[in-house]
Order: sequence, then structure tokens, then C-alpha cells
Amino acid sequence: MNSPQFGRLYFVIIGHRDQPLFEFEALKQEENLSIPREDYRHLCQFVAHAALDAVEANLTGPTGTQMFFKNIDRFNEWSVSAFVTTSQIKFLLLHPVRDESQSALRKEEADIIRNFFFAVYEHFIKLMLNPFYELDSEITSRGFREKVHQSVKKHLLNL
Amino acid sequence: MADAISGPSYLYNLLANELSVALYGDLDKTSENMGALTMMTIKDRKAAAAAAGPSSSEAPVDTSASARDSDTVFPKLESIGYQVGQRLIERLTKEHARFKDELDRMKFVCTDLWKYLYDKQIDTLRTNNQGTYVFTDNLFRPLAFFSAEGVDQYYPQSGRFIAFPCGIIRGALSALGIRCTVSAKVLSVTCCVFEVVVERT
Repeated sequence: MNSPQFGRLYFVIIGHRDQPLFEFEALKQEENLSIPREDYRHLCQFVAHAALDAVEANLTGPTGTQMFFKNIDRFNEWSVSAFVTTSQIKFLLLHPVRDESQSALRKEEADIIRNFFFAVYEHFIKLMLNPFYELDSEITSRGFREKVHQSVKKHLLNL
Repeated sequence: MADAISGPSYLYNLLANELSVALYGDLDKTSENMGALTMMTIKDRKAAAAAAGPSSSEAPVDTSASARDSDTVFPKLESIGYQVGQRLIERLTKEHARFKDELDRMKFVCTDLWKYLYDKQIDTLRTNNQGTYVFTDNLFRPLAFFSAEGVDQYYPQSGRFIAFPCGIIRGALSALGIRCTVSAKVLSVTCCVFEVVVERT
């Protein structure tokens, strides 16, 4: 069975005022983009922001006890998965929907994304414990970006 | 008064003194003897095991310093505690299931958070079910080493020991999504009462 391949990815951490704290894009170099590069980021932000409603709806509903939500929203060829921490910080991952996925592959995909989120969550907690990091502010740490990059490489088999 | 080498109360006194020095450029007059003994007692702790060191001698309470403290030093201590509380919650609730309601969150603060900080749980949690919660700790660790004699003299000084834990509670609850105000009072020698008033929208 081939492990799932992800095409274009966009990962964002969203703070308490719906502002992005950290963004990370993963693009394949040789891929032809149907939309120009500059607009790609704007579109990703737009889709992520629109998905926030779905996240909050899930939080207050019957599934509100879990941290990880898969495929809570969908836009064209992207699907959004979310992870919400106890202090309501949201991690969103935009990933392409695989058309031919069967239920088994879909479950494996969920596990992969969940592992990725937990790995990034570990790094995020360590960043939060840093007294010089102002809570709910933009994450500018190069070390954190490096670690997220490594997590993307390790879990999402891209780049 | 406070035993100079008891752990947390020593640290609180040190912190409050450092803030006073930073803000006003002079040491708190009630513990200037302790200030002079600072270097020696640290070395003593390293050299000797648990021998009771020299306790700071009684100096008359300087009311102007404590009044000044409550204006600027206590809010600073409290805001430091706020940051600590928020970050601690992120770390401690990593594996925890989502909380069911407000009371669940209060219970978490009373049990897990207090156990992490002070190795014991809060003894009594009372609520009036309308947004006010009262935590009672009968043996509050930072106050545990205070001597029982001359208790009246230390009540004005007790503010510096409870400002920081107030901040921790407020920060922890804010990280859990509850906006509130926290105040504390020292009732008797080691018993401390925290009152949490949740903001009602």
C-alpha cells in the first residue's frame, strides 16, 4: 500500500483573536500551480479563516471533548483538519483531498495528521514555557520554524 | 517572623525585595537585616544540611513601605503569577480531556494545579453557584514556616506572599477560558483563603 502523498500543504496556528500566530507552507517545487504564488497564500488564509466557524461549532457540540478534528471543512480540492488546545489555540492544516481514497487509507491519513499535530503541539508547549514569548503574539522563533519544518518532513512525507 | 531559609517564603520575600529595589532603589526596611544576611544564608544552605539558620531579627513594621508595596509591587507580583499560571496550564493539561463546565475547571485548579505547585490539594472549595468560589487552604505552603508567636505583626506583610499565588490562579483560569478576579486573605497563622469572582457577561 502506498503511503499517502500530500501535494500542497498549509499549516497555521491561530490565537485567541483569530489572528495567525504562525504560518507554514509546503509546496512541491516542480508542481505547476493553477494560481499564482502570491495569491496562493491569501487563498490559504481565506480558507483557514472560513474554517474557524466549523471548528468552533464542533467545539461546542457533542464532539467537544476531543482535541483533534479531521476534515471539518472543505473547499474545492482542500480539506481542513483542526487541533484545538485547552487554552483554545487552534492549529489548522489545509491538505488536498485524495479523490480515490478508500476508508482504510482515510483512517491512516487521520492517524498521520494526528501524529503531526501532536508533534507540533509538543514544540508549541515548549515555546509557550519560554518567558520571553508573549502569549498570543506572533511566533518569530527560528527554532520553532525549524522544528515544524522537521515535523512536516517526518510526518507528512513532503518536501 | 519568617525563617530566613524556608523555601518558598524566602523566595517570595526575595522577589518582593528585588521589586522594591528596582522600583524605589532601597530595600524594604522591615527586612534589611535579612538583606544583609542573604549571601551568608545561601552559603549556609549549601554547606549545612537542614540546620535552622539565623532567623531575621524583628524590626518594627514600616507602614509606608508596605503601603507603597501594595500599589506597585503587589500588582507586579500578581502579573508575574498570571503569566506563570497561563503557561503552567498549557503544560499540565496536555493529556487532559476537555473540561465539562466551570466547576470542573475550578476543581482542576484546586487539585492538579495545587498539587503540582505545593504538593497538596486545596482543602475546601465552596461556591455560591453564582460565580463566586472560595478556596481554603489550611496549611498554605508559603506560610507554613511562619512562627505562631507575634502573629499580629506579620499580617501586614502577608500580602507579598499571597500576591503571586493569586496571579497564578487568575492566569490558570484565564488559560482555561474563565475571566475572573482573585483576592486572598490570610485568616490565621497558616490558613489562607482565595476568593475567585468569575466575570459574568
